[in-house]
Amino acid sequence: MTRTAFSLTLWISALLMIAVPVSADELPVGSKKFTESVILGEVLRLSMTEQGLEASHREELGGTRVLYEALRGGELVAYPEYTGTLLRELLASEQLGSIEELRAALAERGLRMSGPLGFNNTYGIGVPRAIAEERGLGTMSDLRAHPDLVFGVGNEFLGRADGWPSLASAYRLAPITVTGLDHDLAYKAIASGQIDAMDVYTTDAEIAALDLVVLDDDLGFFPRYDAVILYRADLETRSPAAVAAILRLAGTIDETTMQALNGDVKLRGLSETEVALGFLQRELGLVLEGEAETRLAGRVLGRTIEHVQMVLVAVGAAVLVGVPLGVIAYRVPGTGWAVLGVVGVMQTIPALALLALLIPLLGIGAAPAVVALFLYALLPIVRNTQSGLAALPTSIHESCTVLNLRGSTILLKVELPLASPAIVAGVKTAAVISIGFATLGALIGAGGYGQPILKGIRLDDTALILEGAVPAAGLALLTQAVLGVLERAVVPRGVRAQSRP
Amino acid sequence: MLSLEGISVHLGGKQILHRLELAVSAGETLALLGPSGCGKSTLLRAAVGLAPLTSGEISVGLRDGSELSVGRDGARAVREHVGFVVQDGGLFPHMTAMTNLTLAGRERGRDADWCAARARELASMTRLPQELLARFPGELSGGQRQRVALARGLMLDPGLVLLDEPLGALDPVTRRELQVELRTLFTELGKTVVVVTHDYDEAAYLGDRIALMREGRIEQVGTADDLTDRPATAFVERFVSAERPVSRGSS
Repeated sequence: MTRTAFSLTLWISALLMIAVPVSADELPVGSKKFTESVILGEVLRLSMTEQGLEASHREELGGTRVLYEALRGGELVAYPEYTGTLLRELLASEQLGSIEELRAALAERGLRMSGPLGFNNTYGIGVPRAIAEERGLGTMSDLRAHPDLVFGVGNEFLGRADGWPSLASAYRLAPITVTGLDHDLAYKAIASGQIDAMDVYTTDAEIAALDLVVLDDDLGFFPRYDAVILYRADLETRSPAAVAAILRLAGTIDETTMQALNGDVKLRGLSETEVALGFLQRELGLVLEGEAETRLAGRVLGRTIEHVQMVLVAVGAAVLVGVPLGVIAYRVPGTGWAVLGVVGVMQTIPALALLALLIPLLGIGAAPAVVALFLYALLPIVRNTQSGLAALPTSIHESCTVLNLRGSTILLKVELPLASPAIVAGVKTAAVISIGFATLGALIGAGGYGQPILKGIRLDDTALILEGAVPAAGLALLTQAVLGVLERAVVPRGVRAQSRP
Repeated sequence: MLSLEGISVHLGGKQILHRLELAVSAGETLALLGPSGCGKSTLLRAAVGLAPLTSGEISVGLRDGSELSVGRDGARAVREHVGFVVQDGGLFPHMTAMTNLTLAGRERGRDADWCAARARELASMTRLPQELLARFPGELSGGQRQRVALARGLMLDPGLVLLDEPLGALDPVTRRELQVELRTLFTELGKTVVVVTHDYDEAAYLGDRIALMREGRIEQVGTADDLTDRPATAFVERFVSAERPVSRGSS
């Protein structure tokens, strides 16, 4: 038992050393988890690369708040943002009226904003042309007379301050059915007739492809969402070349161009890198070498390493903390309900909420993902340890008492070995759950198998989804097998012999 | 050697033992007899602190003439001088019979050789084949497990041995065999023994005296003949006559 714990500690320390981030002068840029943002992120990265800078791109991070906090915390140096989002969401409490005020407010926070890239990607309400003509819909006010239309609203839009709630009250809309769903899935839903209306970004390539009518914003509800690059003010001293690479993008992308770039990725299946590369060569005359696409095996291997590291470190730490917690819950009277209660409550925090809470503390990347996985892995380990110990027969406890064994002997030589089948079962559960949960790590830039799944959903690319889902399932099976071997090593022979029928 | 003075035990709000008085003299084997639920196991368990006393005192006399009591010296101190065999043996299933025997001795700083030699000695004393010491409890028969449990109770050579239904779960043949061996062993070792059973034959065969209990009280203490010939209460008469009487001389 002690030897196992010792070697486990060694393993974890070794893994933590591998997990330490790469060189410090790398410039990480970020993007949100929709195609346009990823393309702009690639444009940004390649523009820096062309300047001879070492830039990396943390693609499709989950949500505006995550990116904004990561930028302020220094985990990112720049990312594409929209003026409307800044005014009405991120800095809504400031009640800023003009772009000048916005620049000043950003400066107070150590941030800078490039000039507009040249297109306004505002929100709109899209309706299939057939429905628009049948119902005579031309403006958003026209919707008021048709509460029976089924609305599908992107999850982010549904919740944000400048999103659905204030839109519905401004236009006095009260549709009977409003469904919150992923923005990309909403296009599939509207194409198959499951929803009648949805929020769109006005540069979405699907608008033309699915022949949707974007209703006129007759009350002028939506502000301008001019695309800009948000970057850290300290970049001006740290890397003027990077700032130049950012600023030269201003005014280079108009709405038609952006729609075409989006269409190249979403409808023609080109990679964001190819599309960004083509754009920079065409529009800015930059000379960039095409980068070799990593081969499938290499990609899967890289993600496997990221994924396994996250799970191993998290579950390893959960064992080191969870088993003692389970022992305390069992041994110290009155602590059982408290320990299990606290650990249980952690399990009920939704994964995304937990990640969002951890980002201000730990930034983005593997660290918050590992901490979240660790917290989720605690419950099965603590509970199985506690219940495994509590389930030992009375005669065992009495034997320990009448033999006058020391507390430490009872715990280490009798109770823990006898409860080890339950404890190992808890570790197995924790490991398999963690492998599944770790796919969410992709939302906060931790990589792993979630990356292709996220991208596959965004691009509606089943092969890409499978590229993440299949190895994840394989890893779960492999983990079961490996832990089965561990079980033979940890669970004493007499207990195994007896547990056989 | 063992004396109970006015002991009461409450468990879960219910009074299990009612101000019991009982004395067991040195070298004597006392059989604690009674129907299930009469409190005989609780009495035995109270002697080593497994059931807390609400009143009264339990004292154990030592070989040097001194005395330890649960109330004054604590159950832990008393247990050092008592070999207790719990109801189903309570062997640790993940340890070999040998380790089960040596664990307590090793923990008290006895060296490994002494412990192993003592274990082998007890194995032959309890007629457990030496090679079985390497086995796990799950690989032993019920009778063999009981022998190991008994040997474990005797490991540190206690003056007082308490056995809680040691033969309860055994088949009749093994049970009979072990009854004979237990009696021989108790006589040879000259230890003070209290053995709990619900079987009158067994009590009559093993015990120098029998204490018959009913609903937390002792109905009668005496030899088997006392109980059959001079029952103190109607319950004693009923209980004894429900069993086929066995003369101790005829076995």
